[in-house]
Amino acid sequence: MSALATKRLMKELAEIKTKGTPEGIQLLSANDMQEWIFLISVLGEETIYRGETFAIRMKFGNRYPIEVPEVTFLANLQYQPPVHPHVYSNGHICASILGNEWSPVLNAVAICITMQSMLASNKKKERPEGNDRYVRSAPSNPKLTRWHYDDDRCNVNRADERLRSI
Amino acid sequence: MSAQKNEGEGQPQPRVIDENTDLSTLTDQEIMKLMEGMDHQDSQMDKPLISTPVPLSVIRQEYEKGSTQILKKLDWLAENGWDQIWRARGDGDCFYRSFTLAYLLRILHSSNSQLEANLSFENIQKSLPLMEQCGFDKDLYEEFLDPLLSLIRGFDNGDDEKTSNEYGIVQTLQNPETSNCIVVALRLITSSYIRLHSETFSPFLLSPITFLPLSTDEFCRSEVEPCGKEADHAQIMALSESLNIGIKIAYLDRSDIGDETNVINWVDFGKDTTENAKPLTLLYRPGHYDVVTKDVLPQI
Repeated sequence: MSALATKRLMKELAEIKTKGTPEGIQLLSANDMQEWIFLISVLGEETIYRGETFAIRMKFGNRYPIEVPEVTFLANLQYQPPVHPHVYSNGHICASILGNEWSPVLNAVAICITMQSMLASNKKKERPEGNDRYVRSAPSNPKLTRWHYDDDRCNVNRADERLRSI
Repeated sequence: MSAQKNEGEGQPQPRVIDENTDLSTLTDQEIMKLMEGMDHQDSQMDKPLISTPVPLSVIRQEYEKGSTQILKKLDWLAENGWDQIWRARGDGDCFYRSFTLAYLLRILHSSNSQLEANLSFENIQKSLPLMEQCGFDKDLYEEFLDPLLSLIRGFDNGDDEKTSNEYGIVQTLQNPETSNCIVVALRLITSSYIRLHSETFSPFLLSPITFLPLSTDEFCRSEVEPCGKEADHAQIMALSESLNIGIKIAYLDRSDIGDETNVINWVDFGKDTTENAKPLTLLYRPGHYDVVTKDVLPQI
C-alpha cells in the first residue's frame, strides 16, 4: 500500500467509526486496508428491493484514491447481487463512477451512496442485456472489462468482447 | 485544431497514424484500431510521467515524412530558440503534468526565485476558499495540494534538493504519488473555478465525445475531476485564470501557416502572456501536451 492510500483509508475508517454511515449502509468488515465489505439496503416503502440486503465488496489497490477500487456485489451462499439492469449476476456493476468517471474526491461511502440511489431509482427487476454471455466469459476483476456507459442500458464494449473471444 | 476535410479520404492501404494525422480523415476502422491501442496503453505506461528535455530535433525526426506545414512550424520554433521539449506521458493527464513542470521551472529560472515562489504560493492559497465554496472536503484538497505547496516552499528555503535545479524538479515529478497528487489538486482548482464562473464557461462546456452541451456540474464531474481526462480550452483557461498565470500553447497541427513572423499558431490563456510576464509555454499536438522551452543557461 502506498502512503497516500493507507493514510486516506485510515481517515475514511476513522470517520465511519466516529460519524457513522448513512442510513441503510453499514460497514460489515474492514479487516485490513485492502478489502472492505459494506451492507446496503434501500430505504422506504416504495422500493422494489424492500426487505433485501446486499453486500458490496471494495478492493483497494496501491493507487487508491487516484484509481478507483475494484467494486462488486457479493454473489455467494449468503448474499446475492440485486437484480438490476446495471448489475450482472456475478456481481459486476456497470456504473461510470466505477470506471472513467471515478474521481479521487470520492470515497468508499460515496460509492455505497451511489449504489443505494442506483437501486432506489430502479422500477423493474431485470438483468442487463447479454448477462449470461458476459458472466460466462468475464474476467474476475470487473475493472478489466471495458464498459460502454449509457443512461438506460449497460453495454460491454464490443471491441472488448472480440478481444476476449480470440 | 485544423479541419481540412477530404484530405486522404478513401485510402485503402493501412497508413501510419501519428500526431501528424489529420483527425478528420480517420476511417472507422482506424478509429477502432486506435481505441484498442488506448485500452492497452502499455507503450505509454512505460514512459516516465515527465521527461528530462530532449532537443526539438528529436521531435522533428518523427515528422520527417510528415506534412511540410508541421516541419515548417518546427523549423520556426528552432530558429526562434525553442529548442527543448519536456515530454509528458500520454495518459490523459499530460496537460496537468506539463503545467506543473513548466510552473516550477518558471520559479526556478526567475531572477528572484524566492519572490516568485512566494507569489505562486499566495496564488495557490487563493484557490482554497473557492474549493471550499464548491463543497470539496477541506482535508482532501489540502492533502492533494500539500506536495505542490511544499515543493514551492522549497524554493523559498533555497536549500531543497528537490527544487535546486531542473534535474531535481524532474526527478521529483517522476514520482507517481507526488505527480498524481498534484494532478488531482490542479484538477480540483480547475473544477472549482469553472463551477464558480459557470456563466462565463457554460457555452464552452461540451462533451468531447458527443459535442453536446453539458451542465457545469456534469462537465466538472466527468471531464475535469477524474484523472486521465484530457484538458481542453475551458480547463486550461480556468486553471490559468485561477492561478493568475499566463499560458502560451504552440499548436503543432496542420492549420495554415501565418506570415513569416508568425508561422506557428500560439494560443494564449490568462491575463498577461507578454514575454515579461514569463508565461508557461506548452507544445500541443492533437491529443497531447508537452512543455517547450528555450534552453536557459545557468546564471552565474
